Amino acid sequence: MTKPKNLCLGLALSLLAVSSNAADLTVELAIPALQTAEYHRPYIAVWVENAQRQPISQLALWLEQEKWHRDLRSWWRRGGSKLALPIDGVSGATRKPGHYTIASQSELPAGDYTLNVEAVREVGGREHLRIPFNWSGQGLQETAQGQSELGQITFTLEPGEQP
Amino acid sequence: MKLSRTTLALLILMLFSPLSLAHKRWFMPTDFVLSEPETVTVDFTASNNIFFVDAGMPLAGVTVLSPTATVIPLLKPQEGVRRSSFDIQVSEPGTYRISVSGAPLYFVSYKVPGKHEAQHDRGTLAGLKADLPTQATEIAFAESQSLIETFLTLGNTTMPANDGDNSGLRMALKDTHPNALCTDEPARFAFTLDGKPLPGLTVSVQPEDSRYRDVQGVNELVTDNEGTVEISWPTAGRYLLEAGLEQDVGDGEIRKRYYNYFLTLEVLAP
Repeated sequence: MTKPKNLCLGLALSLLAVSSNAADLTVELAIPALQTAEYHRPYIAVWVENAQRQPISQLALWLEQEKWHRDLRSWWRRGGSKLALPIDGVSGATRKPGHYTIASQSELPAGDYTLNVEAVREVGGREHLRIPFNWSGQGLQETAQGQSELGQITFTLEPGEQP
Repeated sequence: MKLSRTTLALLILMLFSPLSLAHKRWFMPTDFVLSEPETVTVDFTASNNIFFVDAGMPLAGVTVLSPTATVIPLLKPQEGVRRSSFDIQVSEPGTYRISVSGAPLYFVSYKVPGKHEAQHDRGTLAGLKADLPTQATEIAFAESQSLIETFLTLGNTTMPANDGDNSGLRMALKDTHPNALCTDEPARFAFTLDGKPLPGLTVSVQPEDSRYRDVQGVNELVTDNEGTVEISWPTAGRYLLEAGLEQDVGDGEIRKRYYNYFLTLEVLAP
């Protein structure tokens, strides 16, 4: 007897989920091991910007000395300079070569965005990967391949849980 | 944060490996080639950002030799936070040598009872010896010697004078004059260790303005059997030439010697 009621509830919930802005972002990124006479770990910034290139979410900031923050020059220009650091759950120390997963939950209105991953290494190079995506509540996965300072980046977006 | 033993050992090695972590140090004169006697201002700094000054270097020990081996005084010397600088009066035709080698820097590693990890320190040899704990064992000293130089010429190029010291890692001028470099011809430079040709040495050459590109643009070359390298210049501009050497020197008091060499060059377009 309770079946129709549950069905209605289920339908209502799924409708709610589709219209929701909640998104689970996952970024898997690789820092390549490099053979070089002088190696320093890269400074890395991972952020999402909207169609106007305004940063809307900082996902990871792996930095050391403040003096060199500006060397992540795209991030610095696109809002990094305005941030009060450190940011809980985002800021961290630089990482050694390896594979890392960054997960974040965001309120993301439907629209066009770009995931940015920028890496710069002292006495080394700089690389900035951009993954444009459209968020309409549908899950998606995109990859980009770094050539010098970054390895493969895999970006996954899933509809998030209701708050 | 708990570090594994290997990570810790690696960290210590990185912290105390003078070859890999020494900052680049360089002179930068306002001019490399003059056709009239002039005052030249020379900056001296430690900076990995080529060629933007970062940390001023001490001027004590900086020597400017005129083409006839006269020691030229450093005028208006200033030791700033980001750069040190001085003027020189360039009046004698020929090639001037600006250089500093300075006293060697020493490193020590030793073990003390109760501590698993080796202890490290750096300073003068006498100072390090005085500071050694009495229970120290497995004491090993290392010596680090640097030579930083550049050349500039008034009028016709000449073989630059030297102070007669050929110890350590040096560039011996051979086929190419350092103030006559051009993108349309490769340069040949020779390197010596204690006056003897040095084969197998890695020499790296980096063009200026790394701030404005995504790569360092370093060209690495290895010296041949005569200790020479041939260098091509992809673009006109100023370059930093750098070479380093690490030598095991047996079981005596000093176990290792590190050598660093830095040379600032200017390459013109044809």
